Amino acid sequence: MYRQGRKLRNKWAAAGAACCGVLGLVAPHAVAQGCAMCYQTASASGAPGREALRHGILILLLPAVTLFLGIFGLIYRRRNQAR
Amino acid sequence: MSAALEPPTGFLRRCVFSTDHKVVGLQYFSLALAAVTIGIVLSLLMRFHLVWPAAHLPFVSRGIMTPEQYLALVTMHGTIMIFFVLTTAPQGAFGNYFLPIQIGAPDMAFPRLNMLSFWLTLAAFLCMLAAFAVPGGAPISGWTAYPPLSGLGEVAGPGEGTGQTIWIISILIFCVASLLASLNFIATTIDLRAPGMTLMRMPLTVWAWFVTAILSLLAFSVLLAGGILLLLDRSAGTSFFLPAGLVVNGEMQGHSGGSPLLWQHLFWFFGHPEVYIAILPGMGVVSHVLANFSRKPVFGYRAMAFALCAIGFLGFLVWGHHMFVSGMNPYSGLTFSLLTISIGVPSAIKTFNWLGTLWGGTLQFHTPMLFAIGFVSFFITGGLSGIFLAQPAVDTMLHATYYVVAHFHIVMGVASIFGIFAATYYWFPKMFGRSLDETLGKLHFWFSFAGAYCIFMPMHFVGIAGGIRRYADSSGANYLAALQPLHEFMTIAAFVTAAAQLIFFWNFFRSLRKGAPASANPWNATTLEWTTSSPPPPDNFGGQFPSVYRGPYEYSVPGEKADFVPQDRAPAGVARIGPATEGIPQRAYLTGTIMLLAGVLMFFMALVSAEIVRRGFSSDWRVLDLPLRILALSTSILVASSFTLSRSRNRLFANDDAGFRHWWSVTVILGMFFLAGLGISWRRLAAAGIGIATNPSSSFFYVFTAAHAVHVFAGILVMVAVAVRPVRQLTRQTVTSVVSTYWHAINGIWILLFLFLLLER
Repeated sequence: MYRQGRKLRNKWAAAGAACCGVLGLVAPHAVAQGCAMCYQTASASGAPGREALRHGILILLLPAVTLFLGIFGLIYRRRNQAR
Repeated sequence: MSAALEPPTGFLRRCVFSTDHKVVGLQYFSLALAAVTIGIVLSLLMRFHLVWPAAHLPFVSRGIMTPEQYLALVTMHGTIMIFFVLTTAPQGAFGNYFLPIQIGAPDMAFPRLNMLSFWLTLAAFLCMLAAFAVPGGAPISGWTAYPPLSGLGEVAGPGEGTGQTIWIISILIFCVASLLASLNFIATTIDLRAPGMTLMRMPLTVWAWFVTAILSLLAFSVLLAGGILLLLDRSAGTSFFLPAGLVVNGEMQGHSGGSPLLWQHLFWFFGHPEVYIAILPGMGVVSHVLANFSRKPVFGYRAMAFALCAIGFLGFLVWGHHMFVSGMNPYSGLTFSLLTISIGVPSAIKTFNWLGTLWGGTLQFHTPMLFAIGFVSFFITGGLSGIFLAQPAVDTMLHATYYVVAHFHIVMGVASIFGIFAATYYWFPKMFGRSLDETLGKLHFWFSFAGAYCIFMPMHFVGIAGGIRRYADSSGANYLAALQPLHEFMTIAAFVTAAAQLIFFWNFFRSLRKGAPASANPWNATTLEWTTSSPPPPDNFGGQFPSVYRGPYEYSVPGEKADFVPQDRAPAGVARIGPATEGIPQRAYLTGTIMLLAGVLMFFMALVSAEIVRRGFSSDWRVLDLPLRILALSTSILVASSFTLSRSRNRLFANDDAGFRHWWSVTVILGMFFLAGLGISWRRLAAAGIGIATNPSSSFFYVFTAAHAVHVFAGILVMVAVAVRPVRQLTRQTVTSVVSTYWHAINGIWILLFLFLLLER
């Protein structure tokens, strides 16, 4: 019974993920949540500028995300250590 | 049980230069109160001017406010509110006061650093206020300080001379203060928790302060880097943000090839997480208060804790999407979009769980509860109005209008301030040992709640109708004339709401002296701050440090006599956990150092990212002829110093004191040689006529090397200081480990920088 319920849940989850994937594939330009002003300024710059911006964003983003997760890793490792 | 800590004697040690986290928290609170008063006055002046632009104002030179003076008010109102109220009060004041108590610690991990953070914040605040008093007055470039306006200097208009310089210096000081404070919060949460205080027993306030501290640590480092570059544009003639060919007031500017977009890139890395820095502590407080006054556990505690972490994490990705331009691969933009939109999921989890906490609870409508519910109301309203701005086509139309002003004031300003008020009314009895007047509190709530909606709901409509923000006087535009009655209504509402805050001030200051005495646990709450006296003793628990046996929100537990069970009450039949050890565990110092290094790494990554973006946007980039031999030799010396430091550490652990001192001294000398090497390369470049402003590559070279030299110099100073005088509280092993970690990391950063400089050739 439990196994059947779990299988059903997995099926629904897979169907949901597939729907999201299809939506993403058919609507690559349906971007939302950006600053219209910054986006327009950035997209108006030349190709080297756009590429530099993309690299600049990733170079700043990757360490930030890594450090964020790293700090959580540290507190998780010490989750049972008391003063 | 250990002996209770004696309070320091003397007014200065007790109240001014105190290292007690509770005093520091109150100092932050006082600072935020002063800042919010000034911020409100500035906003009232703006509202008054918008409705009656020709009216004579007593505090304005020549009576009538000029457009520049209006913009100065806009800038200073935004800056003061965002930095010195919304960032300072929820984290600096309540976080400082209650985080150690809620985790059962005697103080923050680094009390002196805590005190220093406050004094730096105060210095930043006074510096910011000084901008009003200098010739030209306060800056006019807004709280985002967009270049070219903010980078040009006096020629750009009144306030853009000394006023703008002072503004930047103030923000730089504030960044340093916030970095120090955040590493303290993180180390305290990780290493100072009482026995039994596992992660899933931490109150949601602690989770919120912890995530906020991580955001501050990573975001303020980048703002610090951006601020330094902006200051150099103004004072050293560099062109990081200023484009070529600018003619301002008939004067040709001498800058070349910079990009204002670079500032947006760096600034919004800070700006996006800043929204969460302001609101996350409020979310923690509201969850805490709702559970207390619903007499129910927080609905979905784990989901709430994970949602706080997820909001913090996704906050960075929101920034990534801010300007990520779909170029070669449109799917990369979509990836960022989907990740960004997904921030709605944890936000919705929080909202539904707050409602779930209220559902079926025994609701007690005390003032903190009212403000907490008000927070939820404004959070939902602001969130809903944000959905429209998330659609680029609509955003393009609404971007420069009052709609945006209304949206971010409701979600970031009013909601956060309601969180601060909820915290103030809730913890006032604990902080001062007296109670606030409930009737006055409720009056204050209803006026503020209705007033805030009266100000900001019509503002949405003004925006949709085309009302343009930042305009000092829109009476000249015919199409805006029909909106003037709405402006009048909002201004009257603003004055009434501001007057309602006088009720709060009266209640606050009167209750400090004449409020009814509060018991240790007036709200029948469960967390550790309510297990100690009101106000708490100097070491928080009078020498009886608690152990924790339960989750933070055990209300209405079946089978219990009372409808709340404190966290430190051991269940029947469970063996008592041993009390905490006294003092700060040695590992906390290493944790603090690692956090400091995380901030330093982000600072340098911001500079590297800035160089990449600047180079991509410019046509004036010249490859610099670097003195590579000297730099390579300096690098070798620095690498060697890492080995000598390791040797020194090994000697210490082998109990060879003479060997330890010998290799320690060799490391210091090698560090000084490295600095000398950098000095020689600067001299060579200067002799070849290459200064910091010669071209962008030389600007970045000087900035990289100087910033790194400062960190090496700081390391040398610490090593010399430690060799001369042993540090109290720290064992030599800890000191050596801390210094080694710092030194190796700084050396690693240099190697990466050196490789980067080589690669870009």
